[in-house]
Amino acid sequence: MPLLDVQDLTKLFALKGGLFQKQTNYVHAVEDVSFQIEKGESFGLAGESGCGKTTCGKLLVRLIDPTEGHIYFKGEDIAYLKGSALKEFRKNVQMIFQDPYESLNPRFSIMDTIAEPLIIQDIGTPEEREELVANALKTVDLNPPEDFIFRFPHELSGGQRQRIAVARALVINPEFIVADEPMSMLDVSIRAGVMNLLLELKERFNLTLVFVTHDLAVARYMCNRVAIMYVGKMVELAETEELIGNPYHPYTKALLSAVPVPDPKEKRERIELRGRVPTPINPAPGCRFAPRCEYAKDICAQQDPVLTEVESGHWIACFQRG
Amino acid sequence: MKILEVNNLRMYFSTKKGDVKAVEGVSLEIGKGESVGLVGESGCGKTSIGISILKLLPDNGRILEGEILFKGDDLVPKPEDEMRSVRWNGISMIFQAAMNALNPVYKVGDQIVEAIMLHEEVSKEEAYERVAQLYELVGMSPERAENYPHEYSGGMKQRAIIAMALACDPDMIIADEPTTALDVIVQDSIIKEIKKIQAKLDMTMLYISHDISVIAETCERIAVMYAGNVVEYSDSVTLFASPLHPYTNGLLSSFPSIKGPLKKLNPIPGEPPNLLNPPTGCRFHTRCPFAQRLCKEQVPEFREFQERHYAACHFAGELSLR
Ligand SMILES: Nc1ncnc2c1ncn2[C@@H]1O[C@H](COP(=O)(O)OP(=O)(O)OP(=O)(O)O)[C@@H](O)[C@H]1O
Ligand SMILES: Nc1ncnc2c1ncn2[C@@H]1O[C@H](COP(=O)(O)OP(=O)(O)O)[C@@H](O)[C@H]1O
Ligand code: SF4
Ligand code: SF4
Ligand SMILES: [Mg+2]
Ligand SMILES: [Mg+2]
Repeated sequence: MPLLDVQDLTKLFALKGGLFQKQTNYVHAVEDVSFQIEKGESFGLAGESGCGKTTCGKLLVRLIDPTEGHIYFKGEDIAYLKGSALKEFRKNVQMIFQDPYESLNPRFSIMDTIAEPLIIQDIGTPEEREELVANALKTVDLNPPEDFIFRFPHELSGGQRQRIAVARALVINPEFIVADEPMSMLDVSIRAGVMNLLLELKERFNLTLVFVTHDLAVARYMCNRVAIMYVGKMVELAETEELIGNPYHPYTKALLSAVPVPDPKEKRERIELRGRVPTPINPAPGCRFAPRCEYAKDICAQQDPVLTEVESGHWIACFQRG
Repeated sequence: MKILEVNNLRMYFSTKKGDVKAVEGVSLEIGKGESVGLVGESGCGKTSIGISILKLLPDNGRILEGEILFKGDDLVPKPEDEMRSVRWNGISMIFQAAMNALNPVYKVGDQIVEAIMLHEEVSKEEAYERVAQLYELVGMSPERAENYPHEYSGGMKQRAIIAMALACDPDMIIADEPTTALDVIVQDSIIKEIKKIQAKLDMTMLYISHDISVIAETCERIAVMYAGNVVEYSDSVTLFASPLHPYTNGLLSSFPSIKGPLKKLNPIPGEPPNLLNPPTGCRFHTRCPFAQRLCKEQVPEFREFQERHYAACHFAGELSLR
């Protein structure tokens, strides 16, 4: 049994219209997405800004409620849990917002920040919590913990803040973590350090990791499997090396061809795309990529292509190969 | 022929806490028609070099020392009115996040026309004609000049900003993180456009980015910056194949790649120093795996090791890097 079995997951955000607007518009942030994640896996959600990665990640840890679909966690559907059952589920999962400037409350000390999930879950006495927090700090290489525990976020560097965010996620000893990388991480050496730290912790604690990123080179480094999203839909899913070496979906091919390579001798073949990413508000029926796809046929504008396994472990949503 | 020669430039920002030593003894020479990348981590002083060259410093910024020879003429002592013409048709700068600075209440084309007429004695018709040509040059249909900024995508705004920078046919462009806020497919098309324009107009370019992959794709030469110093400068292929400075080596090992075998990232431990109080001697000594006592005591000279391959390290050439 997979750790996580996601079936037809959908999240629509209603947009509040003006006073005289009769019809409510919906952002189709995530639509009809199905996939499984095995225990101990590192699973990537990749794609361009606004494609639904973060929304999908938040659904998996139930930070937000789905509109439709199911999320089976160890066989139990957690998609619509409420109250104490939801709280119980949350003992197993955590989300890391990797933007160190936005994710930490400036008025919380490091102790308060990291202990928060423990307090929410009623774990431990104050003394025990302090020890758990100290251990979490050691785990993310912030040594000695006494040097950090009573500081505030603004008294830490960017890299230290990122480690605090990781420590906060680890403190309740979760099985499953969603890590969301912000659009642009300008602190290059810090980013690489945190990537290595997450991989190390994943091995050490046998964590299952969903890694959200717009950067496919980062996804390659971090993930066993990667799913590519486009305007709320999952268009391709495969083992990372397979996806990179042997992409099927026309969008995946274009996306991969646009990734810059850190090697001045490398000459890339670019696949040019016409047009731009369409709005996810009340999207047209059919394949979301059809207006930009050079292989589009009549059927593409009429029917939604379903994510289908075309080769063992390699899934695509496209009429061309599906 | 050298179009720009920066010699021993020093620029500080004064703040309540003391001087931020943002540019410390930087030297750089750029030949006509060359594209040079300036790369380094967030806060290392890349933007500071750009705004120093154009003397667009905020009130608290001051040049303490050094020469900036543009076509043989030192810009440092030049009065503001002469600088204004240098900025327009000598060296034009594309600012970091400039696309957010377009005025939302005016049509984009009108904003470019206004900028042209402010600097040159041309009729309105001529200015509009030029805008149409510029739009073609940056790969946009001239009719789009009639639109307002909110009708543009991020990529189109960035193209418009590039068009504006080219409006008075400058000899050189400084582009500060021109694609950092953009998605990878849009980034790729902008990079392609910049390269095309650069080749077509034989434009000299200083391309600032934190992303060494983007720099590797766009620039024939690369200057690596660390904590206010340019620590290495050479042609791109040599810099990647045989770097001389340990920081360059660490930076190169911090970027995952989508191509080639999967390599373990080996980032530099620690974080860049605070420039209010940078380390003595070699500013990298607090993180350098090869640091000796000498490094802490003496500032390494920025020396030319091979033709146009410079580095600032006491032990450059003696270390085994890459
Ligand atoms: N609370 C909300 N209300 C309305 N729309 C929302 C809300 N949250 C997200 N959206 C929309 O849903 C879509 C998917 O957003 P999401 O944040 O999941 O994208 P993403 O893939 O994480 O993008 P990025 O790479 O920019 O972080 C976008 O169109 C976004 O504007
Ligand atoms: N107006 C300013 N006043 C004070 N310090 C500044 C100012 N602008 C930049 N700095 C500081 O100067 C250093 C270099 O900044 P910057 O040139 O913007 O770096 P980069 O462009 O490489 O990210 C940083 O320490 C930054 O905080
Ligand atoms: S389903 Fe049709 S439009 Fe969509 S990607 Fe495949 S061929 Fe193109
Ligand atoms: S001078 Fe010393 S500390 Fe600086 S880079 Fe060279 S070896 Fe490292
Ligand atoms: Mg997101
Ligand atoms: Mg900058």
